[in-house]
Formats: sequence, structure tokens, C-alpha cells
Amino acid sequence: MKTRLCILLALLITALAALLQMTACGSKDAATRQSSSPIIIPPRSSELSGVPFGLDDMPSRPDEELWVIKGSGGVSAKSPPPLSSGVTSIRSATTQPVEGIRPQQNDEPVPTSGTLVVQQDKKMIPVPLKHTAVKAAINAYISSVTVTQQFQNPYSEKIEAVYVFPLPDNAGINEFVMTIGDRHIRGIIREREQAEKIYAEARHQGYVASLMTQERPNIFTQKVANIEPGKKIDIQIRYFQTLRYQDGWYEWAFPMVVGPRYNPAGTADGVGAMPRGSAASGQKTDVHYLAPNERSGHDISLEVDLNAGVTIESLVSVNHQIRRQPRGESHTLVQLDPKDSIPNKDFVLRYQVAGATVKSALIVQSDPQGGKGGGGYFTLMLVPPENLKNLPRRAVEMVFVMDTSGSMSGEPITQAKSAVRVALGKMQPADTFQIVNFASSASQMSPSPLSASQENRHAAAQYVNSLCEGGGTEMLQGINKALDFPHDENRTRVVAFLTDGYIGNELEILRGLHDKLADSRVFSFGVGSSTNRYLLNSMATIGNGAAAYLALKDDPEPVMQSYFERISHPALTNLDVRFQGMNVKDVYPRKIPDLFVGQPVILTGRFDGSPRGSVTVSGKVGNEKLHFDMALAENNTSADAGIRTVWARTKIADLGDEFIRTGRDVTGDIRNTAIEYGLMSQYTAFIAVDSLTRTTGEHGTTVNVPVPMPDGVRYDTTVAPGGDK
Amino acid sequence: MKRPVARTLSLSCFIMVLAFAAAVVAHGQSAPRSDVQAVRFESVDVFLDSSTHKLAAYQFELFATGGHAEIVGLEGGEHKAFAHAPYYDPAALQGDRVIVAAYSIDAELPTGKTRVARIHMQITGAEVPEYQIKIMETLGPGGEKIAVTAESR
Repeated sequence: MKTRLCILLALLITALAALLQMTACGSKDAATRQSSSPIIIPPRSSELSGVPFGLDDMPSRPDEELWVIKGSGGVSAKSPPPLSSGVTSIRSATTQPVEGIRPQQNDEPVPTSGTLVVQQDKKMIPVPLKHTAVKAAINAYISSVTVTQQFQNPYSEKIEAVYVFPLPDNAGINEFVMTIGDRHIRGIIREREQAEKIYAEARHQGYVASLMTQERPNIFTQKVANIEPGKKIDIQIRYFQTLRYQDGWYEWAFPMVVGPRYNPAGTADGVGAMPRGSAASGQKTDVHYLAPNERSGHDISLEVDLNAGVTIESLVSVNHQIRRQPRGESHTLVQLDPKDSIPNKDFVLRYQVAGATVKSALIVQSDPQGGKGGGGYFTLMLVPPENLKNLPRRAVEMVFVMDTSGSMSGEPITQAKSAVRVALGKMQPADTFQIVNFASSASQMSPSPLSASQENRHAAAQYVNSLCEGGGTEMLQGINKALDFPHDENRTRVVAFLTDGYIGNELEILRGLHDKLADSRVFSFGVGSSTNRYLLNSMATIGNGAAAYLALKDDPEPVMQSYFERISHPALTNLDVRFQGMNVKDVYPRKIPDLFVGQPVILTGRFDGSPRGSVTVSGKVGNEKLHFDMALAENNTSADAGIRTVWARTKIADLGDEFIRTGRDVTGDIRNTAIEYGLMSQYTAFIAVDSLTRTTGEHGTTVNVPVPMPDGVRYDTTVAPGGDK
Repeated sequence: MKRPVARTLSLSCFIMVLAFAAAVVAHGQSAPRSDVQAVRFESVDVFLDSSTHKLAAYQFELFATGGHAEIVGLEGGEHKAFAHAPYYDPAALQGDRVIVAAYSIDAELPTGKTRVARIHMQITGAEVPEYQIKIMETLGPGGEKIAVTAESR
């Protein structure tokens, strides 16, 4: 009996000791994940005998974790095998356990997986996406962009790579090509469900396959199945888009990372923000983020071939360092500086062309299926008449709505506060104002709008300064607060929304905005380095206003000055556009947006016959009618491709707006348009299967490509366990 | 006498259970295999023979008779001039028609018989589809029409 008791006691002690050791390992691991400085583990003298050696030369065993300190002299130390397995770092990058997977040693300088490389105070995390190459060509106000994603399997077993990435919300994506070695396989557009089934079957049977789906108009998922160890697969996407033109500047933007979204309770089809390696969030789409002390080997190169057609007077890159190679007065090549190749902020290129204002311009493309009768597609940039600037505005009831959620913490909220203070200084005595702020709940400065007296504006500036950031992004509460109080009939209500737009319930927000809008106008300001432009542009469209963007490095003064310039003159409303001498049909958007000073509108449509004649635009300014004519010069005709795609993409966006405004089921219309024009949409997807490349064994481990946090956004308030998202 | 009978019965039961388990396992293994046969992937190579003429552009329609075949990828040909993935008509795809086209402005263009495209298909069902090619257009470098013969395999 005594002996049994002793044995039991011994077993209990051993179990307790093991448990204690496990806890200690866990804390060490957690500490390591959070650490932002390199950890140096003394080398074993026996293993240093072969120095110098490079990363590729370093042997790694499945049970080994390597810590490398890279200094000016390269690799300096190699550790003994630590307690935790080398698999740890891989497991944390996947959604399923990947026991036994270890790095592939090959000729390519890929990071050795199963190892942790410390480089410039950051741990290098091996990921299956090695590089993204972006090449854009801008002609007039239309750009054609090719994005190549270079996937490579750095592990010792085959994998499925999953990458959630952004593209511009108005991108008409009409080309998808998978390249394996020197073989190019064009992806086929299919109904989404059908494409997903084909992909699942090909993946299950071991075929190399890829699938691209749309989660939001500006968020996409790329899946590449059955990538064998060391193998490379490139995915090339091409899209067309129209450029923004605002306040004398053209703007071309390329988003590089999806910001961490907040999903209010009850949201299931949102976009989850998860730490790298964590389990699924329960949302339809998940973005996995690298911790602040980590970075992946994924980098980006970007090149813009800008052919403005007229002299380029000035050009700036808002967020990135660039290299510029002029090729004439109207033509220049812009390249992203390789030193600035981490994909963690939007690339924003702005340029001004010769002449005080841009002229209304028509670009046409003949329809290859139009037959002998001609016909084709056009885009028309409708520029506001100059005399709009001479008209004074009514007094306004200005409502500033500030997002003070966790994702705005730090630089974004500082920038938003500066912008509101600048705007307060520009208000006129007859105006009134209110300040609403929202995070997990919404509150306001005063029970009712205040007159814009100097005293009140001073108090408002102090209120803005006192706002603290943190918490969720209950944007709907902010909208309700801003639009629910009684409307002052003597003033135009203008709502200025300052946010990064990091929410996952866009549709709910847009519907809520539409339902409450009445006569108000909404101007959205995207604050930050990687804002949700789909939400911000859509809010402006639904809100009969305009969107503007305030990057972290922007000076808020000119941005708010332009905004006040826009609201300081009445808009041209109830627009009607008539084409004389040109048989035009199917013009989108069907509800032509109001014209503001400094804010042209782009229309796109189809025509029969030849594109000649003139355009008459009529509208109302207050209660007065206004007409102006524009001649359509023949030399505006262009044979460039892309207008057809732009037309179909605009039609899809217009159908989406119709759904928000009316609730009509537009699924079939969107799907049919997308398939007919070979376009990506919410209801279609690109599928490519290589039926010649069948791999052996199971389909492999799914590896989510982790992405860096957007520049200026805090990980601890958004993604980290306990963060606000 | 009772004990050997009981032992025999026990053994019989054990064998039956084992056989049943084996059958279940075998069934479990064969089920996915039949799924695999129900849906499979294959490729169709399309060859054009322009004899002595240089081939600069083509457009053809692919027909599949028997079986349910769906296009899941479109690959380029063997000659450098047509190595890039050809284009397809998405509108035609809505009507279950596969129309494929490509052109090349390369100085060096193929003559004679060349594989111009490889079409990746998903086949559903046990029936084996047969493919036919209907040439819609074939052009030389000057835009002149040229005669070709087509073959698929």
C-alpha cells in the first residue's frame, strides 16, 4: 500500500514539474513574440568552426530553431537547438498543424523556414509570397495595371497559399494568368460558387490550381493549391481604372495592405483581423498580421509609366520615396525606391498638368463586336463650369464626425484632430457646428449645434484636443448621432466624416447612411496610410458629397481648404446630360452625381455610329437653372483598350449602389454583366487549373500569408489579443 | 464439448466482426476513388497546320460531344509567337461555347503544324467527351486570310 502511495506521489510530482516547465516555455515563447529587439543566443564553438557561412549554407534540422543576428558582417552566430521546436514558427503561420514541415534548401535565397532570422531588429518570417510586382501605364485619366504575385514554397512539404490583399475599389479586373515555369495558363471567369467547386476538386486531387475571389470591391483572396517544396507559381492580374481628379490634381493610388477591420457584434461576413498563426476569427474572411517585431520577406516593386498627354507641371508621391525618369514634358517613368519596398501603405501619386483647369474630355473605344455600324464605349470627364465659383453658399450646419476607435490611435487621430481644428478656423459666423465622436459608442460635444462664434470654436478645439482614442468602431452609432437631430431649415447640413474606414460591415453602414441622409450631404475624409477607400468613396456617393484623403504626411491645411472651397459654393444638382449628333445609351452612373467646385464627374456609356457632336449639360444651382455646352473634339478619339472594361465595372458599381438605395436584388444583373465582360465581381471568380501537373499525396497545409500592419496603425489596439478589433 | 463450440463461435464472431470492419474500411477507401472518377481533369491540345503560310492570328470554337466538359484554364502553344495564354470569349462561355483566339506581332511566326493552344478541362461523369475544332478565322502577318487544317487531341 505504502509503495503504491509512493509511486502515485512520485507520478504527481513529475506531472507537476512537467506542467511548470510547460508554463515556463509558454511564457518564454510569448515574451519572444512580443519582443522587438534581437535575442542573441551564444553560439556553440563546435558549430562556428566552419565560418564564414551564409544563410543558404546553414543546415537546419526539423527539431531546430535558428537565431541569426545579422550585422554588417553578415551572419555571426548560430544557436544550439532550443527547447521549442523549429516547427513553431511555421505552425504559427498556418491555420492547420504542420508538424514535420521544414524548410526547403535550394538555390534561391529564400528565408530558411523553421528558423527565425533577426534582421534590423525584426524577426524574418518565411512566407509563401515572395514578391509583388506592379506595373502601371497611365494614358490621360485611364490606367492599365498589371500586378504579379510571385508565390514560392519555402517549406519541405507542399502547401496551399492563401493571400488576402487589396486593389482599388474601382478596378475592373479582366485578366488572370497563372505561370508555372515558362507555361502560361489563363484563368477563366466563372460564377463564384462554380469556380470554388472546381478549385476544391482540383486541390483535393492534387492539381496545381489557383482561385481569385472578391470579398469586398477592394479586398480579394488569392488561393494557390498544391505548391510543391521550392516551386514557384506566379499569378498575374490586370485591371483598368479611371483616375481621381480633384482640385487640380490627378491621383493614382495603389493599396498595398488591408487595414485591420472591426466587426460589430452579429457580423458574420466581415473581415477578421488576426495575429499571425491564430485560428479563424469566425468572419468570412481573415487577414493575418505580423507582430510589430516581425517582418516577412515579401516585398513590392512598382513602376508607373505616366503619359499625361500634356505637360506635367508637378508630381508628388505622398507616402513613398520614388525615382523619376523624365521621358519628355508630358511623359515620365516613376519607380518605387527599392529602399521603400515594404508593402504597408498606399502608393499615392499625384500630378498636375499644364493649364489652370482640366478640360472636359471624351475618350472612346470602338466595340470589336459592333460590326459595320461602328459604335463602342466612351468615358466623359464632366468638369464643373467656372461660374460655379462666383456663386456664394448658404450658411451651413457642419457636423464633424470623428472616428476615435483603437485603429485611429496614434498618428491617424493626431492628423484627424489637426484637420478638424483647421476646419473650425474656416467657419463663418452664420454657420453652426456640432462634433460627434464614436468608438465603442458615440457621443457629441453639445446637445444641439452651436453657432460658429470664436468662443464656441475655441471650446470646440479644446473638446477635440481632449478626445481619447480606443475601443471598437461602432460607426453606425456615429452616423445616427450625426443625422438624427432635427434639421435646421435655414442651413445646409454638411457632415464631414473623418475615419480610416476600418470596419467589416460596409453594407450595413452604407444602408444606414442612406436611410438617415435626407437633405444632408456627406463628405468623407480618409485619414491614414491605408484607408478603406471603398467605404469612403461609397459614403460620399451615397451621401451626395465627395471623398478626400488625408495621408499621415499630408498637411491638413490645404486639404481642408479645398474642402471648404467645395462647400463654399453651391453644387450643380439634378444634372441632365444630352448628347447631340451621337447616339448614346447605357450611361453610368445612372444617377449623375452633383458637380462641386474642383470635383469633376466621370460618366461612361455606349454609343452607336461615330462619336461626334456635342454635349449639353443642364442642372440647378439652388432654384436657378444652368446650362453649358461642350464640343466633342474628334482628336479625343482613342483606340486604347480598357474603356469597355471601365464601362462594365462602372455598371456593376452602379448596380451595387442601386441595391443600397432600393434593396432590389441585383445579383443576377451583376453576375451576368461580370461574366459577359470577363470581370471579377462579388458573384464571379477566376479559376485556373493545370491539368498536367498533378502532385502526389494530400493537398498539403494551408498557409495564410501574414501581412504587415499599415504604417501608423498600432498592433496592440487593433490586432493583438485584447485589442479592439 | 461445450467449450470448443463456444470457442469456435467466439472465433467465428471475431472473424465476422473483422470482415465487417474490413468491408467498412474498404468502402471508405473506395468512396473517394469513385468521386475522383466522377470529376476529373484533362487537357486538349489544339494543332493548326498552315502549311507554308506564316500563322499570325487564329480564332476557333471548341466543341465537346459526350460527357460534361468545362474549360478551367487556357494555355499557350509551343511556338514562341503563341506561347502567351490565348484569349477566350467570356460572353460565349455563358452559352457553353468555347471560343479561343490569339494573335502575334512577332517577326518569327510558325508555319506547318504547330500546337497553338492547350485547353484544360474539368470532366464530370464517366462518359469520355470527344472534341472538335471549328476554325473561325486564320490570318497571315499581313492580315490576309490563310487556309489551315485543325486537329485536337
